[in-house]
Amino acid sequence: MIHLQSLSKTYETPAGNYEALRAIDLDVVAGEFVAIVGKSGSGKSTLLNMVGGIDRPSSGSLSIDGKSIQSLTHNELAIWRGRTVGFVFQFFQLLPTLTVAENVMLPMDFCGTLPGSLRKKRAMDLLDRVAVADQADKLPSALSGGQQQRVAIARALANDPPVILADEPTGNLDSETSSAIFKLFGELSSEGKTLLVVTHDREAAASVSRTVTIADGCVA
Amino acid sequence: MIAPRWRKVLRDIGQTPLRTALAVVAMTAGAFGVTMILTSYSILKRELKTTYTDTRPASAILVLDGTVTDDLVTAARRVPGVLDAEARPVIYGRVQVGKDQWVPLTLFVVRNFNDIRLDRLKPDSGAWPPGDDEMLIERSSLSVARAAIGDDVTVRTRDHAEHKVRIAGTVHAAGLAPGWMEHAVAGFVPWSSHLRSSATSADQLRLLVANDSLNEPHIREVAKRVEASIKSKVTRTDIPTPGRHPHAAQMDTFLFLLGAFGVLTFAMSAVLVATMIHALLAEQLRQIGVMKTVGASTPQIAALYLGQVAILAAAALAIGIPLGIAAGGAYARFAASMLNATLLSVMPPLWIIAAEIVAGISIPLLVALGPIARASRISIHEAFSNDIGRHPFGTRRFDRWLVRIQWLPRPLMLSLRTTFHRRGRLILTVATLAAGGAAFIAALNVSAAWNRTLDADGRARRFDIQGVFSRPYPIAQVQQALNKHPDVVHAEYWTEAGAMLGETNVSLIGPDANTKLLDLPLIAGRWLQPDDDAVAVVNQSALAHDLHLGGNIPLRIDGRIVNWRIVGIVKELAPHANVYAPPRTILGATGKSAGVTRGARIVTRQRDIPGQLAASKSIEQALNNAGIDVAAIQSLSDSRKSFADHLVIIKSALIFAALLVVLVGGLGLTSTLTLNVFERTREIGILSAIGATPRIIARDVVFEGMVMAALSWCVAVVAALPITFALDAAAGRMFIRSALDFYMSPIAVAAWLLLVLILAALSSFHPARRSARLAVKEAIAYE
Repeated sequence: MIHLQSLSKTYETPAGNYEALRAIDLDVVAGEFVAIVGKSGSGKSTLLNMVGGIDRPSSGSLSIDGKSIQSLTHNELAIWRGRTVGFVFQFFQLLPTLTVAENVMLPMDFCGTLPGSLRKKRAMDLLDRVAVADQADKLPSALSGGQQQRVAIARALANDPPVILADEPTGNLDSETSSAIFKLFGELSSEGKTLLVVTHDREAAASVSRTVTIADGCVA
Repeated sequence: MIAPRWRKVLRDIGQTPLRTALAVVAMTAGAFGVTMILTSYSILKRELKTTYTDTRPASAILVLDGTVTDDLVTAARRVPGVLDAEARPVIYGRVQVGKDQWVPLTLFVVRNFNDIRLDRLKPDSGAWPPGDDEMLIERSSLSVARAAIGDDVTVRTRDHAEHKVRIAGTVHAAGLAPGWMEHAVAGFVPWSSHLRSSATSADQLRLLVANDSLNEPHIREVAKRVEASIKSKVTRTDIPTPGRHPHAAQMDTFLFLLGAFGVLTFAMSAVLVATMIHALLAEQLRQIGVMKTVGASTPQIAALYLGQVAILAAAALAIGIPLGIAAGGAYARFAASMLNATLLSVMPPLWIIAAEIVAGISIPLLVALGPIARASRISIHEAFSNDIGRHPFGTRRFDRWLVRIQWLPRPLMLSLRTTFHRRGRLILTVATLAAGGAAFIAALNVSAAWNRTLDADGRARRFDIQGVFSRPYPIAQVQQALNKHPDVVHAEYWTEAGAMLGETNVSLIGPDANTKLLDLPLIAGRWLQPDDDAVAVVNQSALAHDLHLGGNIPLRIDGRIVNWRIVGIVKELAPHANVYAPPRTILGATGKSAGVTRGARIVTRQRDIPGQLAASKSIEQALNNAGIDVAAIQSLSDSRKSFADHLVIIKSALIFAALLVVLVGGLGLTSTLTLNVFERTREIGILSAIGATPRIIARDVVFEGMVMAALSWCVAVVAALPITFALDAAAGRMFIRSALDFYMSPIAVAAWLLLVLILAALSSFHPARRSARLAVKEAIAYE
């Protein structure tokens, strides 16, 4: 499903070049639930950004579902991302001026995946799935952190992407809520979604099918 | 159903009412300013043209030697090329406005008040037509006559007779310059008036040509044809510039200034819009990142923000256009009163409103296009990393130089570095303020340049009173009357005559060889010298006749052509051509005798205004007692006042422009600085978290605002130089046919510094305090 071959990323900084990733080789099969762990600054998030097409690698190759995403233009990448990858961030990143349901509808709106009349129903189904349907018409600021992250997951699922990427999704949540979120990820994985989750949470790491450790930009 | 992304746009607008209000107010100010100027410009342009042409202005005025009879008028009407003709004899005289105080009076004799064919007038108030011992007075000169309808006034005609005339009513003669500006009274009397038989000064025959009425050579040709076919001798033919109101030069200057400041206001509001959009996008970067993550393409993002800009621009137009039209109409009315015109409608033409709407929407979109394209193209990675496109502080030389400034308190150092680090924001803010400042300073500079031109001209003429006699008198006789007069310190009797330069009347002035009373500034060449002959010094207005230093000036004097060599060019506050020549040169050309004069220039003992006024009364009395008939006596302060009054409208345009700039610039400044503080909310949160008190934060933010204001002031002063230069040149050329002397008004420069600092302090203080009071958590989480 996800195929990385000698993938490297170098950043140019005032202090000189910084190698965030060095020749990473990684394969993830469809339906796998992979935790990426490692120390702060080890390159975990950079790796996730490469897979999600948020950032471009300096060298190496990267293909997802058989498609080499390096060759995509900026706009092709946006469309591809909207349909193929769902993102979940540590700080939720819900749009503050849209209601919960509208936040979930937004990806469908951008990608035009469903006819307009069906989008609301799908959003409600997804919110129901993550157990926050009763919050649908509220603004994100009225929700607790855990609830916001559930909405973010619902949003990530909006276009029914095969891949879900999460960057420290529980880093800002208490342990009880964290386990609930990981439980939800487990369910998604068993439904056939491929999950890549960057996490510090050791307990949560227990519920995944595989753990990849990154240290100093390499797979340890 | 509205798509969620558009709902986001609407809610973003609604969720931040203060910011939205500021953005709309800034754009409204621009829309208002531009609409106001365009409105008054278009109304005046349209209405003044029609109010003048509606009077059916005469194409030519023939001054006859004999009486202008009905038969003669009928004969003139039959001449091919003549559309209409009318008799309009003129009586020159003076009207008494106080004890021993007289002002010039021009009375037009109207053939038939119920059938005025040319240079029409309209009843304004009181009676119409006037009786045989009555006159109608031009409404704008009623105040000059210091009289009211129904009053009896004393009129002294050139034959020295005094007549009691009742003011029966007022009229509006749109073709005449306003009386209060000319410091003279214009009136109208009937054909059967008692005054007519005894006192007619000039029998005028007015003509309107049939075709090609704006073609001056054609008019001249038709006038010659008329001259040939009537029996009376024509002593002079005047061709008023076809289609031009007598105050057209003032109007042109005024409209030019209005237009120029319209462009400046427009530029200012465009920069303002750019600033707004810059601030808006800076705050939205993270959200752009999120939207991209969930699949938004670059065009989709760009469309969202362009839509947002369009909505704000539309709101600004909805407020700005009606306000601008109302204010522009009011200003047009005011300006029209200056030119003795009445406006029939104060609605701007529809195309102005349409153009405003198109420009008001498309300009913000165009200005926004660049920044929005950049922002919507950024990668998600950059959007989340918070300092997109910025060079980290310290990577540029200027940053390192700033770091070396160590003597400031640390928080102030931070403010200074922040100010200069965010260079894009700094440039936009400074540009907005500087555009306003430059326009403000330039407006006051040009106004001051007019004052200085007026003052310089006053200093160049060192006499206090000028008397004009009704006919030439022996100089010895005048001298005798003046030499023993206690108010007279010095008097000179210059030689004066009239001549034609091409088809234009010019004055020939021959000052005494060693005159102490005239010292005009030279533009080129030299002044007249005692042993000069057949040479001339011309003023700048004469240069329009294709003359140059060292060349000859061809003049027609009593039908003969003379050529004098031009040895100098002087600058004087005169829109018409004057030719200065040695007295003997003028006398030789005119064949007049040397010992007589038609006027005197006098230095009085008391040189202040009341002194001049008192002296002119007693000197006139003394001259009368000596048997010298005074046609007019005018103090220099009075003639200066009249010239100053001609500048009122131009000054009003400049002051109006300055006020508009303060309004638009002030609003722009306030909103720009306020948005700057919004942008810094997160930073302010961090400062609070590490112990800065609200007081310190407010102080630093205000300091930052003032640094930007001071910087903008420097830029404004520099930018004002070329603007002032261009306006001085253009406005001066239109009015006195020569650029005004460049002058940078220290008052304007200081006033703008003060204004911009006060505005900066006021507009950054409130948002700074608000931010400082935000809870730290809120501020740091601020999106």
